[in-house]
Amino acid sequence: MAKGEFLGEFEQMVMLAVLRLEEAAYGMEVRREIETRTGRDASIGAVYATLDRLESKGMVRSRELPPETEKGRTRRLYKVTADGGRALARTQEAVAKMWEGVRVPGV
Amino acid sequence: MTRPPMLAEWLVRVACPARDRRFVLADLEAEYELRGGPALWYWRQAVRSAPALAVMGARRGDWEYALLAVMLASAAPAIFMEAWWSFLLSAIPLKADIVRGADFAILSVAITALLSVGAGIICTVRGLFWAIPAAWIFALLGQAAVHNSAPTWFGAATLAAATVALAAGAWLRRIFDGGQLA
Repeated sequence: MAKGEFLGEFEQMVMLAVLRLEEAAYGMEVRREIETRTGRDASIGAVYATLDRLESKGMVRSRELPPETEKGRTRRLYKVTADGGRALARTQEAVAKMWEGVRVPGV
Repeated sequence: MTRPPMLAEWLVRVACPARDRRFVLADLEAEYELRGGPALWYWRQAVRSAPALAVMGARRGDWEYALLAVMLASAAPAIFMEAWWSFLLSAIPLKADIVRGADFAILSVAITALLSVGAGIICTVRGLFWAIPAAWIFALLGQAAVHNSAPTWFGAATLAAATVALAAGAWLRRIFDGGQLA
């Protein structure tokens, strides 16, 4: 299996945040979800760059939504694709297999 | 409502590719307001976001990032060679009759070629149509500014080196994009 078929740690976090947020998966909401759940203060730039990379790999797709109110703003909503879902499951499976029977000293 | 720090906002504006600029800035501003306007938070976000956003633009092959890379790749050798020459002169007590030999210009062309491969990776194949003349002009301008002249052979050698190196970089990018080297 090629290296590119697995997701990196931050890529996984971003994709899981997108899945959790469903119809509210916008850039800043993704950043905030990661911060709330993991305590990791990710930068908005890192989130957008990761989403862009995932989109170029076909694991995430985005569409622009028009403003909801007159003073609102155009936002970009992200969705995980079927390919993205498979990559996420594959990565989780690989990591789980690596953890099988491992005893970490001091934990 | 307090405005985000102007300089920090400008930093994000400059680093961020045009396609995402309004989303990133609006997202930052919305959370900045939500948090009650902490300037330090905005600054931290801006400083940490800028490199990731710039890399995103470069990876996508946006023209402004490619142009910057081409400018740096073609102008840097002249600056480097000038610094090297100044160092040599500072180390030699008697400076009379010391002239730069052709090896200096040859090394300059070699550095241009080396850096241009890196710049070419940011260029798309279509982008080479302007990247090659831009690299050539900047290399000549750099040479002329530093050495007060740009010999004909240097112009031809730079054009050839930049063309081949940029094309090689763009070719490498195509392979990477195609996943053949992934």
